[in-house]
Amino acid sequence: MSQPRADQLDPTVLAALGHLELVARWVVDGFVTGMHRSPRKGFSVEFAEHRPYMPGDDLRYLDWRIAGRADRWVVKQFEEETNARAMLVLDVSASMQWTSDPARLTKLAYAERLAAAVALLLLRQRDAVGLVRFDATLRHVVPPRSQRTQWRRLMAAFSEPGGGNSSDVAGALLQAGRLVRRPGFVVLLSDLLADPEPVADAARTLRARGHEVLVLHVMDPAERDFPDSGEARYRDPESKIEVPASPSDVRTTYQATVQEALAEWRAALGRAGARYAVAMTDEPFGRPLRHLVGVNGRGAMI
Amino acid sequence: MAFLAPLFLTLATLVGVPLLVHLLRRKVGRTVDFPAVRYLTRMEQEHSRDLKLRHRLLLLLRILAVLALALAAARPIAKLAGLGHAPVSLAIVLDNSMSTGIIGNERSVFDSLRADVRGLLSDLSNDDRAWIVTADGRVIGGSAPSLLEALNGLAPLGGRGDLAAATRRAVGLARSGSPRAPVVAIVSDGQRNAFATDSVVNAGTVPVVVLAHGTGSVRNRAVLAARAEPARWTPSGTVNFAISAPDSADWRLLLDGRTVARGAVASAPVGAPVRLTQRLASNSTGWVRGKVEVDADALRADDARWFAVRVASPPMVAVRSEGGPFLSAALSTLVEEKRLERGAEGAARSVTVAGADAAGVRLPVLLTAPLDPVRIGEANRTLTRLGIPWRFGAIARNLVLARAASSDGAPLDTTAASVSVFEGTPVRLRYPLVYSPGGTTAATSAGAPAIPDTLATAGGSAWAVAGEGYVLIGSPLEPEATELPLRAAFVPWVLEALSRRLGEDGRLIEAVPGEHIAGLRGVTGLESPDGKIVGTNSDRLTVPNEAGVYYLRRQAARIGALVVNPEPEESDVVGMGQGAADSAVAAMRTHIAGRDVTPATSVSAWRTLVFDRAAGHGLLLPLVALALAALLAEAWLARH
Repeated sequence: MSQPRADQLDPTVLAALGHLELVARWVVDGFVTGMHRSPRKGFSVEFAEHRPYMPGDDLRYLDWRIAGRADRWVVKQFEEETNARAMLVLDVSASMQWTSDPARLTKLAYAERLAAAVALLLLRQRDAVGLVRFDATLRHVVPPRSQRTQWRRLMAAFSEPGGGNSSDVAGALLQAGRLVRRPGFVVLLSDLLADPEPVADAARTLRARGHEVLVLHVMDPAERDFPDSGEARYRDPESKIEVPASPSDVRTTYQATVQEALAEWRAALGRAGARYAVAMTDEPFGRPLRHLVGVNGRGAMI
Repeated sequence: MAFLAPLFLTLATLVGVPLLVHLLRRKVGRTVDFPAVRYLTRMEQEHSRDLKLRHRLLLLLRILAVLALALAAARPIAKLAGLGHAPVSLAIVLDNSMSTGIIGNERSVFDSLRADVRGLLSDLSNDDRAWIVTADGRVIGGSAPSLLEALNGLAPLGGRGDLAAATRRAVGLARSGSPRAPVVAIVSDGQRNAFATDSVVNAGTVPVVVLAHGTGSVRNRAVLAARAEPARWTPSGTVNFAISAPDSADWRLLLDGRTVARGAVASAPVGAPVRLTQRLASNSTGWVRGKVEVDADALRADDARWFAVRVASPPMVAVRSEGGPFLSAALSTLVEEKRLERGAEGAARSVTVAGADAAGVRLPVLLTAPLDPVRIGEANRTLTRLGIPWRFGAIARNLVLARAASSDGAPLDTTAASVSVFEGTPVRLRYPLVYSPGGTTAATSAGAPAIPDTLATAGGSAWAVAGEGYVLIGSPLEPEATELPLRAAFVPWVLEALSRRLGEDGRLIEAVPGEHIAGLRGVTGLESPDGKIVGTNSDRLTVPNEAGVYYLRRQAARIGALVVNPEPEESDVVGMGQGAADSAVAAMRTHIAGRDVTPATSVSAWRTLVFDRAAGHGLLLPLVALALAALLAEAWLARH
């Protein structure tokens, strides 16, 4: 009988079995095993392909032969793929440290484990990975490296305490983009309790600099469905704004509103050229990991 | 609309709860951390109209649910056509008069009537209230099962009963079940004289549905009368009796269970029966039970008629001239007829009749007032000497009418001849009798409440009184003083006074089943024909339903007889055939005044009409359903 894969286990159960580093390893091992079995089998760091030129791309990598022959501006991507540079941008504001159920991971704990898994996966590919933890400001920065000691640095950074009462998602994205000197990947893990447009503008800027932007919207299931807490005043732990509501009365409308908001995020980020996915803290790590490490716009993994 | 439990309407005040919750929803004290408050805020901004509408709809549904439940708890009744029947307050008048005992096709009419009632009871629901009232005034209440059980124990009466009184009582009972729909259902054998009374029952707004049964052709033989003459045989006398029969019939006459005469009569209708007189002599003395009977037929209850007679030597009387010529003449007549014997004054069992001013009289005595006012002092001294606790007062010469002694308008003694002899007698000269047990005339004033010994009053004062060993009249028995000696009932009254009050005959009472009689002072028990003795603890009793001779007992002694026979008209069953039922109902209808008195042509129509009078339904279930629907709608709306 085959053992259950860690990337498909309940995240709460998995987190209870080991600390962050161990969980990340289990998830990555399970994920890689799954990838070998998947139809996507064969993806490789050897992949090389042209991609359309985008403003901000380094002209040194422009394929002049294609430009002359087909009047198409493309850049040679393969050289870059072999040593990708990725920056993980992790929201550690107060809202990320909330869970609707004490038996469930907070959004931050979930995002940390997911980010650790992504980092480990990239480091195993000899890619450079960095980390930015932010709230209203950048609280912790680990520049991208592909060295073996980088994993330890990242683990040390994850063990830092959470942040303050507000978050500046757009600012953190822009600053993280500056830390990745060559075109690379910027992966944002946040509950996105912010306005979409500034964030989309920041993503657009990063895209203009040649970075791939991946946004993972981390949500507690209760934020999607509305908690069954009875008639109460609901308070935002960051802004301290309170709104009275009766879940039984407004749940349906609330859910529709959340779906609208998610659609707006998807549309705004899509227009900015960023990839967007929603991750619920009660779903196994494998699904959001596939979103992050799946086939990118050029058919390659991160 | 009416309510069975209106107090529960106060639950409607609970509508304030959802209203209060709705109004106070913005003041909820509990706070819950929830980072996605921005979605809530956005939701309220974008859907404020929808949310308000939704909140108001939810509020309305909750209020509706509370109101519906409060109304349901109050058990409303509403008339809604075509939905069964609303809770009824049903009083069923079951005619169990003697005539319902007719047996035809091996089943009595009463059994058929009982089956009709049983069918009606089976249509009742738990919300209904019901009573059965029988012709003898008996009322049975309770649940349908208990009524059905009680129904099995009912039987026809020995007499006619009083269907009018039963109907009047049923109307009151039906009204008492308000707010249920009151209905009176009458089921009778349709005898023409079922409501043979002058009184009319006013049902008012209470609907009355009448059903009358017809029977097949009935050929009834009946003994309609039987009486011994005179009341005391010495030791012989006669028995007068009347028999009706559709064809010739044999009769038998029994004394103390022994047949002493027999014969046959030709056919005669109830209205003109054959009247016979049979002379007899009794071998035994004391009270004797007698019966005249004919062969058994479909109606057994009138095949025999009872009588009783006292067999003893005549009472002895000693007459003094002070009693006046009229009293002397009456006594002479009775002596000539051998109803009395002259005896020596002072002899054992001899009653002295004299003026109160006569000297040397001894108890027992019948005394009259002296004509000369000068003699009053002497008369009062005689009363004192005899130990009689009454005195003659000052003479009164104004014309007044005597009244039989009564209590609350009812005669104190319904069995005595005094009622007819005294009532309305003009009195021109009288000495008001003053109760004076201590020997002083000032003990009581005129106009005081009647003392039990009082037989009659005149001008508000006692005028004729009786006690242990004496009868006293407050006027001389002369026409210029009172018309009492001129009245037809005077001589029988004198005989009754001498034989019953002052002698030892006791009394003979004739009554019909169910009748109420009073004036039974000194009676301690009633000895039924089978020898059982039932004690009495007042001077009133209800005559038993079974015909027969019941002896009145004072401890071990028989002091009279109560002869119970059915009303002769109850034997008139001619015209009770099937086709006559409608006319019988029409006759009954004339005795019931009301807004809605309806005859039923059949049993099924009777049952339908009874519940049609309460067309509609209790609204309990519809309201509970409405409350549930409101709650379900609220739950659905709250989820979507």
